[in-house]
Amino acid sequence: MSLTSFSFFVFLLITIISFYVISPAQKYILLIASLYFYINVSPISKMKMGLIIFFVGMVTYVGAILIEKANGVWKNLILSGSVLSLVLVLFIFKYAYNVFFMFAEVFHSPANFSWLKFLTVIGISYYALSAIGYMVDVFWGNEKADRNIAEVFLFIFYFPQLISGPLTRFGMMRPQITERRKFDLNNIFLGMRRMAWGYFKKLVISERFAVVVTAIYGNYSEYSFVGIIGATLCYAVQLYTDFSGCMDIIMGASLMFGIKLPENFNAPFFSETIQEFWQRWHITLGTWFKDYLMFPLQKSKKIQLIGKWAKKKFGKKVGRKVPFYISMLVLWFLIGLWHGGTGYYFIASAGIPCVLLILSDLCQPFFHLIVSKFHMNTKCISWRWFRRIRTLLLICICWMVVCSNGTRRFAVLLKHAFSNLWNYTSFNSALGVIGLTSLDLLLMVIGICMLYLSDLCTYKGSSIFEVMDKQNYLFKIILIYTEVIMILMYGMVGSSPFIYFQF
Amino acid sequence: MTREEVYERLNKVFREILDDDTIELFDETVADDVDGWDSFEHINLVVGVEEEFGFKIPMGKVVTMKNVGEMVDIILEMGK
Repeated sequence: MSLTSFSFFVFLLITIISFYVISPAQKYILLIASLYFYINVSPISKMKMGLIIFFVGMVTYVGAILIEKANGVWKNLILSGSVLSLVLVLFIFKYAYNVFFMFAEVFHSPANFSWLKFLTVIGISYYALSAIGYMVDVFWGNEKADRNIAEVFLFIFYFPQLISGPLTRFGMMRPQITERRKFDLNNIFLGMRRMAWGYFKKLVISERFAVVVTAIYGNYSEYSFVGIIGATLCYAVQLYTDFSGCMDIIMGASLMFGIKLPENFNAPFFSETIQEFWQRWHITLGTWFKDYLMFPLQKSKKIQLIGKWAKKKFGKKVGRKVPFYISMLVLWFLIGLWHGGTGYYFIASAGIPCVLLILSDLCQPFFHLIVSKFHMNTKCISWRWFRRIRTLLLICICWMVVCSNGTRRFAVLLKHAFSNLWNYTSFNSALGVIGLTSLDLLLMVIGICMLYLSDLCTYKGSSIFEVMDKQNYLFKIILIYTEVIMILMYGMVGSSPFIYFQF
Repeated sequence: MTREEVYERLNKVFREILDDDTIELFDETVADDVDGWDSFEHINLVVGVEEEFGFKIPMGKVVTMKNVGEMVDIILEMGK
């Protein structure tokens, strides 16, 4: 049952009807629906899925209560034990094979780890983090441990956010899942509208850009540097519309139950720095790692002692930077692991972003010097767009590694690209070979324009939906019908699954 | 310790760590309002505040405080 399948719509409709008809049991209906959905989307056996659900749910439920009751060393021990249990499950089912395989490759070991290659447990890397966050919040005293087992299970396995996030916080979710919801036609309408925008992004925009990416990266030796950069920019649009489209569908589905999930994107391509980009892209993952890992690590006694040592030895500024860089390295290592633990994903999702962030921080004084020396106007629009394009191109380096599907292939691709810099003709003539019609190109242009308008609204602190709400009723209806008709007529259903499902 | 005294010392910490003598903090000031107050410097500021006031701010409060006003409330509460 994928988010673009007919069975998902039937499932959603039945759940919504049951949710509002049997309103005294709303959270139980959502829980049953969530467990049914999860067991049905998973490729592994129902028995194994049941065991994983039971284990993760019970560790979180019991762990949080025990953490709350315990004092002193016991409190730390129970938290560590509970978190480690979930991390272990996550590691075994998600990362063990890839990590051991990568080490075997690096050290040329003949060891065979294929026995670790389990069938994918979808969504575990999302809900395990939410569950860990809940236990840490109880440990810090920010949340009370919930005694109602159904609420804890529903928080972890709530079906809209189960397979691709967003990562949720217990403090935000609990009031929403416990409060009884009255049927509100407006919520249904808003949810459907958000879902339609998500389907449009995925099926009309993303799938078409995917055609270009697959065609060029699948046969890169035929293309020049310009062609490969063009394909990488297409991947940027493909990935963004795929992931944010998925989020729109999830948020829209959740809104129909009156439950608002946290936003995962905030106009990322308007970012002027690498740091800003990571604050606008996959927000809930970034803030989770920042709050539960990076800040505690940076503030820990040992890291601060290293900072003090560096301050004595190298001065105040270095002393302040060292704890931050150490915690950054740990943070990005774990983000690389979270993305699957394969070698090239480590480089693309952790290695390059981490190096770029540290470099941009180290080079900051140098950039300031250039700006002041040449009396550059940093307040004008052209300067802002220069910074935006520069940031996007730097991020594209990461995505080039992802599209290359391997580090060796990336090296070969780079060598080829730099030896064929300006071969424009091969790019132009290749467009026809890619397999897109002029209608496809038109739809891609329309898609980009709509995406730009939508993100511009978000960047200015509003949203495309808020702007739509201010328009005349007739215009709104025409716009929504056009969108739905475009999805039905031009949506490339079943072409590829959502990219972030794999994580 | 009065709220004004806390602000005086807090301004001193922020100005020293962020190398900016023009910083003036208020209850509603958030990270976006202060040049240089980002996730790079957040913990440095917290540690600077802890050293200035002589107590540790619990991690749970570090990740939940939304503005300077909340930081001042925590300092006043911890300093009692």
